[in-house]
Amino acid sequence: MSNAPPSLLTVRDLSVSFATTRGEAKVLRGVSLDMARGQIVGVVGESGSGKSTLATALLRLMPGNLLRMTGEMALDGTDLLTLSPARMRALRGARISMIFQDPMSALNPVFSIRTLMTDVQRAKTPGASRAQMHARAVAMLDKVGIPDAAERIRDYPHQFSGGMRQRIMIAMALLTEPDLLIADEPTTALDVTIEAQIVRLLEALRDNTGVSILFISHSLGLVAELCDQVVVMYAGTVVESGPADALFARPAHPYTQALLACEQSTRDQSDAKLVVIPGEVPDLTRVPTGCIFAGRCAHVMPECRAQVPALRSAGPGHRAACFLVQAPSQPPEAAP
Amino acid sequence: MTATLARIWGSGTGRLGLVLVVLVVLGALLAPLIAPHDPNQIAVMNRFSGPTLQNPLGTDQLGRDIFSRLLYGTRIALGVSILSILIAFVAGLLLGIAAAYLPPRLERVILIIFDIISSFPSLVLALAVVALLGPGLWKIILIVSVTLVPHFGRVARAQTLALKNSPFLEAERVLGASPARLVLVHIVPNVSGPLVVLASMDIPVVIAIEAGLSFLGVGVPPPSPSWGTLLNDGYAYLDQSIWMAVFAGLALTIATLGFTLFGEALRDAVDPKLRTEP
Amino acid sequence: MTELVHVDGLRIVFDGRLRAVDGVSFDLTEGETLGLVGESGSGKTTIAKALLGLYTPTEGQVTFEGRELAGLKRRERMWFRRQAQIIFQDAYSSLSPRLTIRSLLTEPLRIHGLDPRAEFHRIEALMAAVNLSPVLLDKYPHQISGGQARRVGIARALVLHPRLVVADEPTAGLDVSIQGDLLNLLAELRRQYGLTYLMVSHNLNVIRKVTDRVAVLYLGQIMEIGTTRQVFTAPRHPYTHALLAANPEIDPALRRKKVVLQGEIPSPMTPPPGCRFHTRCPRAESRCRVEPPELRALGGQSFACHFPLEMP
Repeated sequence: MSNAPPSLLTVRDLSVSFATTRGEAKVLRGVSLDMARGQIVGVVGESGSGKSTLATALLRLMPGNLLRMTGEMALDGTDLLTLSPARMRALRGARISMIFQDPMSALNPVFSIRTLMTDVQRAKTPGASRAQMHARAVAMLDKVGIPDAAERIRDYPHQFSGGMRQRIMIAMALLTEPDLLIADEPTTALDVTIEAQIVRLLEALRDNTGVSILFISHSLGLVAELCDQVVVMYAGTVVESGPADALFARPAHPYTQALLACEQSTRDQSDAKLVVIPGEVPDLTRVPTGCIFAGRCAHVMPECRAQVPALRSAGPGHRAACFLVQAPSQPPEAAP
Repeated sequence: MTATLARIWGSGTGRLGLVLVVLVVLGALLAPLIAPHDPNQIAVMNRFSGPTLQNPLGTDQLGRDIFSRLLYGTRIALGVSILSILIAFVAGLLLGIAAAYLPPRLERVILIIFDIISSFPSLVLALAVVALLGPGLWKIILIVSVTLVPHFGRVARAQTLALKNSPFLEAERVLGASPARLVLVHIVPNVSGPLVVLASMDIPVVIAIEAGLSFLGVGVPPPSPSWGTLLNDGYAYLDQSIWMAVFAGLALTIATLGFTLFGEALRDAVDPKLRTEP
Repeated sequence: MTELVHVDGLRIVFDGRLRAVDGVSFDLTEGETLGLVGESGSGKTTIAKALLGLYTPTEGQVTFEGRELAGLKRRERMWFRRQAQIIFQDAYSSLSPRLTIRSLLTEPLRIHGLDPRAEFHRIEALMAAVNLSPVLLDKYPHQISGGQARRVGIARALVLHPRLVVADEPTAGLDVSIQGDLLNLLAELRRQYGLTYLMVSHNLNVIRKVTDRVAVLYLGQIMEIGTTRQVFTAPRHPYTHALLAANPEIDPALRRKKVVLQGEIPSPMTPPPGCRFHTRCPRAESRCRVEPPELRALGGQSFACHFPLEMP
């Protein structure tokens, strides 16, 4: 940690479990993650990977059936896990903001955009006048690409399209100049040409304001295009992390390799069968011993079932939790 | 069916409700076998008796056996509520489904009729009709069922509207199912579920309405042993004997409580989305 | 190759003002898989359902083996129902919730007056083909998994041995590690039963992999239609090009030069005059604002554009 650049967000060994009717579900197990200022870090994984739980855990917005939450998470040296509820509330929105997949349900339909955007500022800048807050809101809407922002700020959420609502969400999230923006599948509900607009917007905002973005997505392509760093999650653990270019060019974990093979098999237009990962995501109320991916892994070895592999270096800043990962200079063969 | 009952039995209040409901229903069915006396047999010498071995719950102002009268009263209470609810159920189901499928103008007509009916409280409407036409068992049943139709009709319409554009009905249409088949095989069973729950929750309401009307003297005419009539007599002669009022009130309480708890447990039990079994 | 479906000048207007489909013509040849791609408001699902006779055309017609759907008599309509079926996006909600899997699978037979007992071999064969265990027969839809529900939906669509199957967003909501299972199954069933597919999807990767031809739709009209290979490798319409460029690519070498389309998709209630796409088109000129381009065939594809992209 000493020679690494000072990181904005540090997560160490974060574990979260929920009480369910079937017992304790260990939805996050030993998740570690580092994020430098101004970076866009992608968290990619499929259903049940725990990527959305990670987002809500960072904000400590956990559902009532939370059973345990252990480990460390710190934003700029502030320990998020031991912070009092009141101080955590103050930090949310001010230093960490979040945008969601469905901007409609996240915008209160009975208030105009102006009211919503003024409210957000009131907590952060109590002294500001209405006119100041209004002007800032209009400027921010303009910045995220809402045409006629000065007029449209009087409108209500339902008067905007899905893409515009997501822009408004982003504008609201950025009003308080947070250090970290968590974006949980922000484009999943949008059309692909609108998705491209939002992705460009996030990129531009990062370049202009220096905000760090934790971008949570199921789309490998989107993460590959947008993110500097990538964290691959599977069934509640980080199986691989590293710089986007290196990770997608030389995936080190068999799960990442298999996922990329699935994705790539849709590319070729031959009659060849599509690649699938056989089996199912394990039941997190009955986490098997050993590597979590062992049950579906094509390269499984006896030790994989006995012991959880630690993250090992697979290149500069590139790590994967697999016994097959060896010296950084010799990445393991890609899956056939 | 057995699974539903098992689920009701599984919840504490549901079990109590089920036991009470079974008691009430058995009382009604087996009244002639259980009742120690003819409910209308007068024994003036033995009036206002407290509970004795011969008259387990005592006797009324004419010396009639209260226990026997309450047992036969169960038949009236259940008969009126089940019949009127059945009529309202069927009429409401058909009107509700029709409203959902009819063109908007006809749908509005049905909805306006529902609104008009529900703007009269059952009890007030019943009082008015009885004042005009005189009391009678069938009139009570008819009035209650008419006032309950909007209750079922609105839910049936809402359920049908929710189902109308669901993919599974579209799938049936693509398979070639006729409109009659769509309604009978797919819509009616799906709409009926919530209506059955409504019906079970309405039973205590109707029991209370019938008792209320009889209490006011405009319900089932004497000497039929309606619980309402018994309660009224109990109040009239409260100075002589408290037993009539106490036991009539108890019977009403047991029946309405039983059906309410049962209805709630049934609602929880039949909702397939709440089921978690594999 | 025989022409199975012919769509001619199809126009579907909802409530007198929502122009969901606005003048669409195409053919579907027996045995091929045609993809319909497009964004919200493109009308792709409406077209697919019109092919099944679920919507009556406001104008134009859909013919199946030369018979116009709107004019089918009762007996012909029952015949058509056995020819064309649909696989839904959301498998659970396409299964009547109060019927067992057994009833759901035998119902198509009953509707068409076939004896479910005598014809049960069809169901057994289909269950084997879609890899469903007979143990599930007496369960209700809410008691089976999402993957199983999908398979029941597919089996049910095939019980009557249809020739045309419409698949409406078949992989929506599926993880990439398992979507291949479903697509492989659809390909296998196509071989086994000689099916013709109309595949509706917004997922360009899926469309590219599984279709023979593809129609790109925008606001109720076809922008471009042709063989999948040609449309994907050499799009002529600027919208197709932008759509393909917007599709995120993992491999940096494959990423197209980004053309991020500006603006919103206009509402189908008030589509722009002239070319539907001119409000967002980087190549639009004054002519595009007034004169709607005709679909014209050139090489292996047809496109509706006054200023098409050059062949690469």
